[in-house]
Amino acid sequence: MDKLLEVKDLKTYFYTDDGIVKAVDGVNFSVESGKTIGIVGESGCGKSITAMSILRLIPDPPGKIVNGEIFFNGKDLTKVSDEEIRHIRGNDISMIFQEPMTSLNPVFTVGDQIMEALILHQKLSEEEARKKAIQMIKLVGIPRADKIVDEYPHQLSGGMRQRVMIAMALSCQPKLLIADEPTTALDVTIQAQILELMNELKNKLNTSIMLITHDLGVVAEMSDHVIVMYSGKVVEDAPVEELFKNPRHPYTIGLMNSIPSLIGEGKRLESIKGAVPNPLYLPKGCYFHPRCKFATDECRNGQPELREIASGHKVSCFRAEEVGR
Amino acid sequence: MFKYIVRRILNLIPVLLIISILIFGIIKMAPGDPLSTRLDPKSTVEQRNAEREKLGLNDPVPVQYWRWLSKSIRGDFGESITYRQPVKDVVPGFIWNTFLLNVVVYIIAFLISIPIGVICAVKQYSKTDNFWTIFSIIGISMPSFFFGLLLIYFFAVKLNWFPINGMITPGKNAVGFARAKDILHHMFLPAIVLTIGSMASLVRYTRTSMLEVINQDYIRTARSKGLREKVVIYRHAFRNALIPIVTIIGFTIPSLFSGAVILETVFVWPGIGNVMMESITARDYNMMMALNMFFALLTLLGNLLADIGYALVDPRIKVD
Amino acid sequence: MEGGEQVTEKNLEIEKKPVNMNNNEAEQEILSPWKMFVRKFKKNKVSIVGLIILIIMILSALLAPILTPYDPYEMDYSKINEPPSKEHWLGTDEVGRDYLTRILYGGRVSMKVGLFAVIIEIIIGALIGGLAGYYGGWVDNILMRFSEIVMSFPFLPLAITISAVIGTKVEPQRRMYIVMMIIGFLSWPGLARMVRGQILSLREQEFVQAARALGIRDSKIILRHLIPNTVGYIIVSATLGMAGAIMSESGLSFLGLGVTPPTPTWGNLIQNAREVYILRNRMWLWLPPGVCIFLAVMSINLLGDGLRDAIDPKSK
Repeated sequence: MDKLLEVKDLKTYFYTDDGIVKAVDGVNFSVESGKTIGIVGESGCGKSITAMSILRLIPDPPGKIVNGEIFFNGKDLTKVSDEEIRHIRGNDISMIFQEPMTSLNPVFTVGDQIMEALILHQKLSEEEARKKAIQMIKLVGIPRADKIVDEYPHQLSGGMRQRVMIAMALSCQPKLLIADEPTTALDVTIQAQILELMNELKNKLNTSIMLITHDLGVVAEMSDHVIVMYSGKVVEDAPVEELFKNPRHPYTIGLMNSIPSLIGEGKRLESIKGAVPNPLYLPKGCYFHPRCKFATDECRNGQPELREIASGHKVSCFRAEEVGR
Repeated sequence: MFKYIVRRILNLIPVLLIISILIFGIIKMAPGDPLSTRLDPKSTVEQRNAEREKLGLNDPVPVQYWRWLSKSIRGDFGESITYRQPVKDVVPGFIWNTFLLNVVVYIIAFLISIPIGVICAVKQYSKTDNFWTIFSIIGISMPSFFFGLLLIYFFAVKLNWFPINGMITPGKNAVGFARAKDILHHMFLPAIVLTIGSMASLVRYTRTSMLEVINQDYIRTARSKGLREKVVIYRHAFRNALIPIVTIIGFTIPSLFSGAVILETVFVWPGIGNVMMESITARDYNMMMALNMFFALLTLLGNLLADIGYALVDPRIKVD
Repeated sequence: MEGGEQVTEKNLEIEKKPVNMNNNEAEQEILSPWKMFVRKFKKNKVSIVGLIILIIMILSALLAPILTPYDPYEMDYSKINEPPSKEHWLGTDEVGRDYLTRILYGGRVSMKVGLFAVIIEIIIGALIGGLAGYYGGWVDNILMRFSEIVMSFPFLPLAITISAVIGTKVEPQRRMYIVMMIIGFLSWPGLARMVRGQILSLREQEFVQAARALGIRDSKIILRHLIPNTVGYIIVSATLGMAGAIMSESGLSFLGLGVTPPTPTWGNLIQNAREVYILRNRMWLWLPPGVCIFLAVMSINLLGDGLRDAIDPKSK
């Protein structure tokens, strides 16, 4: 299968007054066309920064992509000119953000904001762009599209705004849609609707999706492939069935044990002890060892590499073979 | 929109009434007899009393207030004792002089400061930003009268480039172009004080508003759409930063006029501030009341303007 | 301005988002809000400079009796209008008083007026804003209408008029207090609105809701929860307000309508320079007090900016 996007050894650091924050530290993964990849991890693990690095949206200063390659359509996005990356943004790769309430500009109408990218990238005239905007609003399932197009974001509910964001992101038919926690801020019922909508549109428009979330349930439902991140590193990388059937990293297992299951008898929920380490003071050895019940001296001293333990299943844990659910 | 404006204007009336009561009350508390400067000191007690009766000064205060109010609504603020003319005939000339100095300067200051503020915010902590930040803090902390004195000392007294004060060279009686040139020459130093003062706060204000906006999520969205940085800054960010900036415009108009009291005293500029001081020294009460009402009205109009501006630039404000 | 407020409050709410950055650092070090504040403030070099200038100015005003052998009010007609010399660093004035002494004592008065004007401003502003924000409804309506009215007073003209009218009834030594009150009573509305906005957004937060649900008395909630959480913002606006008050006092005194001689303040000392002869020939009489006002106002502004940045959870 052809790889649409390939991220190789990406390192994005933030240079703060208190020291260097290695937000993304040597991340590798790839996205295949027409597929959905899920990136999972607790907040602060670097998943959003990874996404923003792809579009070079990291605020600089203090952030900087210090190493790595991001291949998209054969081009290394870390090396292309500002002009070129602008052509890619919103056109070939677009992004949906976590906060639908604040991600739309309050002083422009919904239509204006959708039309902007169409006029810029597709060279549509104002009129054509407006027609297309209305069409997109209809497509994401908002009724009265010809009315909504002239409304301001504050007149819409959170779910509607996120739909508008999706309409905006998909208006130029991008090859890749990066969705950064698209449903976190929404009600559960609306969450399901939005996810369903994304899936539907993915099939209709053949868009690849990079879905960033902390919710394993969402990942199970949506993705073909999953990457689990912890403290700026990929700890496990596997196809979705394999990951849920056979998780090998203690962190992944911890995440799975902490979600309630409706099926089967009521097992006691477990939580992962401790908290995500401060990125300024990362522990020596495996970053997860202070919270890991399997940790040995080896884990305290050396950092495990990401290695393939089964076909397509990579884990970075010294004791992956012994660990299991 | 029209309804909104009308409602705002109707809202102003009770406020204006309360202010007028307050001002009338304060001035009624003033010591001294308003007649003392009008009458022959040798006049008898009877003559004085007759005069008081005639002017209504023996009536209860509310009655006097009502009389004053109903007259002033019609524009009759009584006679100025310093100018021996009706207040309404004297004041407009001074207002014009103040207007001339302030408004011209303010428009210029505005046109320069806003782009500077935007650039400073975009290039936060750059050399340009640091320069203007220092400029702002100095400008904000510098009392206008002291700055005025410094300029007079160096440029008028020492270097003799500009006249020390006034608006026209006495006895010159120039007309037309020569007169305009003379006025400009006199205007220069006070204009500098005003420009730098207003620029200091405008640059700072624009910068802060822009910084606030630049870190918002929707700016990231705009960038993720592939818009040019110029479009992101000047269309998406600036349109939002404009909301607080519009307010400040409304609020500065009245403060310019009241700031004139100090500045015009320093430069002896024959504007409304100067007359205000004169009327206080001369206890020209009719004049004082009229000027205070003028300033109050101006402040309210400034607020109104800010409100209207707000409604124009922020779609979240309900106008109906 | 119901319309206008929406946005203001919205901004404030954004500012008030609770920050829980401490959780992550549990293992390394737990920073109390105060420690975090100090750490952030210390990083701000410019504000530290402001603080140092301010401390020097306050000390020199407080220690005036030790720093100078002269009395600020004692006249000496044998030494009038002297230029700077070894005995009198900044010369003497028209009745033979040592000018440097006048400036030092003038600083006392200027800063005192600024301080007390701000205290009046805070008491009224915090009280009105707090009550309006906490009780809402008609209380809020009336109080905010009232503060809008005061806000639309034209500050300087009204201050001048009041000072001119009341001032003449008061002996010169007492005028200082009149000036404090005029400034304080005319400048509280901004603070009241800020406090109201803060309280409104705090009131909706969980810990206040919880306290209410537990049936804790209003007065206790206000004292224990609401005031401590607004105090930072009050301190910041009080600091910046003090700079403004010193500026207003000096302006009024410069016009002869603030604190009047023989009591010295920086503002009325500069009044001399309105005479062109003095402006031209005796620079030492007007330049130093002007520089003092400038430095005092600037250092307080810098300090206030630094405090604001350190308190604001959004800033780094």
